Amino acid sequence: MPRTRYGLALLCLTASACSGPDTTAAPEHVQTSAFAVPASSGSGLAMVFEADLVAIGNGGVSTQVAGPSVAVGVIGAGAGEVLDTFEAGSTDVLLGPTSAWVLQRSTTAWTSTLGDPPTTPFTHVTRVDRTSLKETGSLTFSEPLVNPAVLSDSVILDAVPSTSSDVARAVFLRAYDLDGAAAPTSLVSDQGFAAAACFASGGAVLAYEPARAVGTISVVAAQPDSSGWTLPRMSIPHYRLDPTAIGCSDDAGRALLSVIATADGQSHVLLVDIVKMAVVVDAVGLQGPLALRGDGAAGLALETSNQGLVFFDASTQIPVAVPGVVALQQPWQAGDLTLWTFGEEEDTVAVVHLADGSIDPTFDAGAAPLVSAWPAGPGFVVGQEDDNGPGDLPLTRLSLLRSGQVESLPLGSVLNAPSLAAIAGSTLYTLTSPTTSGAADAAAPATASLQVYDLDTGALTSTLPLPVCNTATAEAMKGCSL
Amino acid sequence: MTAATTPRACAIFVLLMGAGLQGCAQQCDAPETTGSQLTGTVHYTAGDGATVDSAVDSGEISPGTGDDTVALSGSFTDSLGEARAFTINIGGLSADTSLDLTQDSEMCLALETGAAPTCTPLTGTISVQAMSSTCIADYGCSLNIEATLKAMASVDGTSFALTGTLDTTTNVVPSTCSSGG
Repeated sequence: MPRTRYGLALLCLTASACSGPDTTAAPEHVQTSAFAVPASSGSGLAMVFEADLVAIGNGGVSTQVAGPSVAVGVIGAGAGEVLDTFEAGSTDVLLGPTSAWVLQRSTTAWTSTLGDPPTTPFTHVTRVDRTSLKETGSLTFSEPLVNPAVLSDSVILDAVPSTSSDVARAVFLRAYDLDGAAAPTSLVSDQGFAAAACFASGGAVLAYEPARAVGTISVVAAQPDSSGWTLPRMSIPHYRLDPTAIGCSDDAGRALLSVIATADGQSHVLLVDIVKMAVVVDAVGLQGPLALRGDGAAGLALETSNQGLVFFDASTQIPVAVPGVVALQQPWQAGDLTLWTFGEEEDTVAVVHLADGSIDPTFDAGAAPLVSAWPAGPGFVVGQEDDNGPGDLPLTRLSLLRSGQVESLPLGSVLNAPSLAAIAGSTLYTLTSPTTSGAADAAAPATASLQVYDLDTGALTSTLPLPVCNTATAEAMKGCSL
Repeated sequence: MTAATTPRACAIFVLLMGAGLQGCAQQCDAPETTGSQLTGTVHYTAGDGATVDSAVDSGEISPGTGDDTVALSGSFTDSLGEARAFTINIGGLSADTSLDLTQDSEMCLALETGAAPTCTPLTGTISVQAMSSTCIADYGCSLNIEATLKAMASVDGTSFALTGTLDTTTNVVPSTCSSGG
């Protein structure tokens, strides 16, 4: 399942500048961080608001959570009402099919260079039903989550981060069932070096180099079934794992791995069938970034020699006619469509089809575009910001890529600091905030704007103001009131 | 450590040159650093057995926390093609000596992506051919050193070996003392 994350950078509603740290110390101010929780059907929307006290100084951005976060109805039933109250802690939200998972860290104060959220694990979760937008359960994790992914409306997975390690470390994959036992189910527990995990609607795959068998890659699939979990496992000798790229099939029975042969150091991409313990494709000279088709039968990967792109399946390898070198970043994926970044400037994108390796016309997306996958389309929404403009980055173009076409979406009247907050079904929610670049803005009431798009028609259907957390309440450490 | 110190070089320079130069109150000299800094080769073996020989990239030398210390930094490319930054601190140095690194040294390297560096003592030797410092008013002091280094470290199944050369000299470059310096 594609993971949807909403972080502090998505929306910064504040009474003074929040576009980045300054070398000049600034007084503490209240900042509202917002996370969208769209109803899974219909047009309901709640927002989770976290009030933070933020001070910018020479040491970076100091942030203190000013009390409990709240979920407030914005669209539909319960609009304007506080629907849920959460713990006090740095927040993130993951969306499941019919539930949202409001994850919180025990961390309530931290300092970072750019005002990023802390990297400490999540200690608490509250589940919110995506129909009523009300809480349906909560859990304090016995082992905090470092790399969570939602599997279903009751199960959340956690895996060792997909990173390299020169020394043996704990390698794990575990599952928490919010409707079951409080303790997690340990699916994989080992010691190992490099590790990479991917998550799909049908489970997860963990690949790693076990410390007990150096020069071997272990690949484990975790697939839920009626009696618990099926955990097929295979070992692949004579390779080392590149943990920066991994792909799963929808059923988590197959995986695409970027590996390096221990004998000659050559890059390979392996398509493995974990259930059958078979290497289906061993493509020499390919490496990540990569993408695997949902049925696990075909994929795309980078050609090591020329940074081109190759489509392959069990019987063929076909170069994709790309418009330049492929950027070394994982593509976005919406169903069997992938969106890749190309060119020395990494400012060109194009959709490449996992069905046959065909490529749609290229699109100049500018540097570091905002991208959100639209699985129901399928397609992608691409936002471009003007990084030469004053103050916060204004949104200059919003485009919808589908069916080989690029359609421009209308822009709202408030364009600054945009974020693509969520896509639910065919409804896109974007957030923008008024400019916060000048001293005059500090005294102005800070409001933000929510834009709602119907992606089927490409229309901007409504624009709503969003409130910010009350300053006095936040300064009294009583959380967010609106 | 000897010190080719020029703390008030500008004033001295003006005295020597007479009154022909006006308005030279301070900041008339500028440092110019020459030398190849830290160069050499890293031989690194990770715990999973992956081994690389990599040239030191972006090697730099700076004064350490004491008069007889040096701080080195650089990076090497690991078996996955990733740049791996390391730092080395060595104390107890003096000119024309060969020093056993076990006495006062450490190497710091992040052993896991995104993790804080792990520091471990070094073994090996550093042979110092020349060592001094150059101090310039308003710029501070720079270390001058010529040395060869063979440093090894191992931690949790990894091994790191650096064979390198230290070469840096900072000279005072008298500027034309104009108004405002």
